[in-house]
Amino acid sequence: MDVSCQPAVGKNPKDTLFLSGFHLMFVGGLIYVLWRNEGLWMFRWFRFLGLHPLVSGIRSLGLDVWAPVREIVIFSLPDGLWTASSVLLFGWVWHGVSHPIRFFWILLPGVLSIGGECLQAVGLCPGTFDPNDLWACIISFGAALGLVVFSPSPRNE
Amino acid sequence: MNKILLSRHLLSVLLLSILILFAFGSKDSGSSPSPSPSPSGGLVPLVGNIYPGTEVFDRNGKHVGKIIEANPNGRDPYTGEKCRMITVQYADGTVEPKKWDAALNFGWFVKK
Repeated sequence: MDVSCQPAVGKNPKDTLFLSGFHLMFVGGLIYVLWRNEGLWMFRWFRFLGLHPLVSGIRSLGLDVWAPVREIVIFSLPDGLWTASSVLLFGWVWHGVSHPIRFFWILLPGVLSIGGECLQAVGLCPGTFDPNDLWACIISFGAALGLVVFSPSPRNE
Repeated sequence: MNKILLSRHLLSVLLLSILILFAFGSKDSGSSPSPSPSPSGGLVPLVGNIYPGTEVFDRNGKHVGKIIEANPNGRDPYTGEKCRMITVQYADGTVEPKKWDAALNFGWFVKK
């Protein structure tokens, strides 16, 4: 593969995919910890794991989001971050593999998140449809897929 | 299927499990303080069934008040935060805005 026109994604593209995916997932998780209500399952798990004091400490920092984008950041961005990080992490797993089956795994997060939102829109999936969520998933999926597809890769299988 | 492909499939299944766990963790647990049995005739916990006009009751079946407004695009009157809001008119006539998601944890019940 000619890699001369590939985007510079780091010295080791595979590491870049993993680190990008991991950090996006971390940021998404942090958004939930900071600003979402404590009725979510994850807060139950934090209590079970004895992490609630730490979580409460982080939440008590009182960090806020710029008001005009607050709703998008708190409610829609995490969906996009989950989608993007999932694509990147599957891209990391299948990096260097040329077998077509890799596309099943790399495309799966996009199908789940975008498909889920679309099914919510027609009432076939539990949850509240929000166009912002859908756009967040589509944009992040496209961006992450581009990074995975155009990441320099030694096709060895 | 060669070993490398198999190992990647296994790693992918593991990764998918973790990702689904993360996604599930972001869902509402519906954790009212009393998800216990319906207190008295025909009452069920308030979970997502919030509409204007919904009468709410405590776990003993005592009338708490009525939800007179349910706004999915509301704003917290104290912090200015955009969030789903409801307005509750209590049995004594007082009216108070409440965060929709917080109300799910009040241990309120509604009629079936």
